[in-house]
Amino acid sequence: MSNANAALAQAQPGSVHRFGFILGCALLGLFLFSGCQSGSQAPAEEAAPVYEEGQSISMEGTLIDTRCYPLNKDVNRGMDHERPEPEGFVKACATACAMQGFPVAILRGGETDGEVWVLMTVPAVLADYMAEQIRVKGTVRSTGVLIPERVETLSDGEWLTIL
Amino acid sequence: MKTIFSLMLAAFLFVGFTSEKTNQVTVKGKLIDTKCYGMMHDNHTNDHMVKKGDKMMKMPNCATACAGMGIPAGVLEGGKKGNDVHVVIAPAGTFAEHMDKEVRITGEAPYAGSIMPGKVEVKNDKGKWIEVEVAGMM
Repeated sequence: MSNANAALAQAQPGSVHRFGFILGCALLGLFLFSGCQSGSQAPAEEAAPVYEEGQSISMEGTLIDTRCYPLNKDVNRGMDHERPEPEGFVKACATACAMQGFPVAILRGGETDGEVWVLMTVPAVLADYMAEQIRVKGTVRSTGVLIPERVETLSDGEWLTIL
Repeated sequence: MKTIFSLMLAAFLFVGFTSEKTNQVTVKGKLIDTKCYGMMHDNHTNDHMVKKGDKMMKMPNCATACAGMGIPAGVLEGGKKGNDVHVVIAPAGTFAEHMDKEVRITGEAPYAGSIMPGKVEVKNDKGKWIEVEVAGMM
């Protein structure tokens, strides 16, 4: 008989019951907690607008780097980004990511949590304009994915074509 | 009392761990060039038909060339034209030599119609899944 079995055989019946009671409480707590978590989810958001493939569309917003934006939406819609350690705070990260080939996107309206439309173009071409206000005219590939025909940046109050 | 706290802590950690994993998705299909496919759904292989003036011309290895230039790559679900496409949030050049191959990507989907890869695998000529190293992955 192993040591564990021997110890169990010598254990007082009361202590075995007590252990069972504690285990039961812990499991009950787990299930209640899981239930609360799934039950407390936010109500369904308003139905998002539906876009058709091939639809022509124009929008204004901020040119963002798709790699970093989800990590910290407030900070990473700008030029310098918060990255996980060991990178930490990276200066001019948006330009570096675009140069490296990570797809770029327009954050519609420029506000955190706005719609993000990934642009089907060579990211490096737009690397110099990251975090700037842009205006894009293009064709919807699918919701959230845009094939740009024209990209403009706002400079001294005037729209300049950059793509 | 210590035992209760230990078990409760384990339970919370377990729940936290499982809920973290729920954001993971896996998409399976074929690697395509999103720009040419967006212009014409027949462009789901490596060779594409592109417009030159008034004529359509066949461009061999166009998908490889486009990915090499940096045009984002995508996964055409199930490899069938007309199915959903997921843009891969990673440098397209990494996939240039794998265009038109069967691919399996596990990662997160932070945007509509896109996947940020954690693990990328392509099927080689012998039908075996081979992992592809992608720069700057999660």
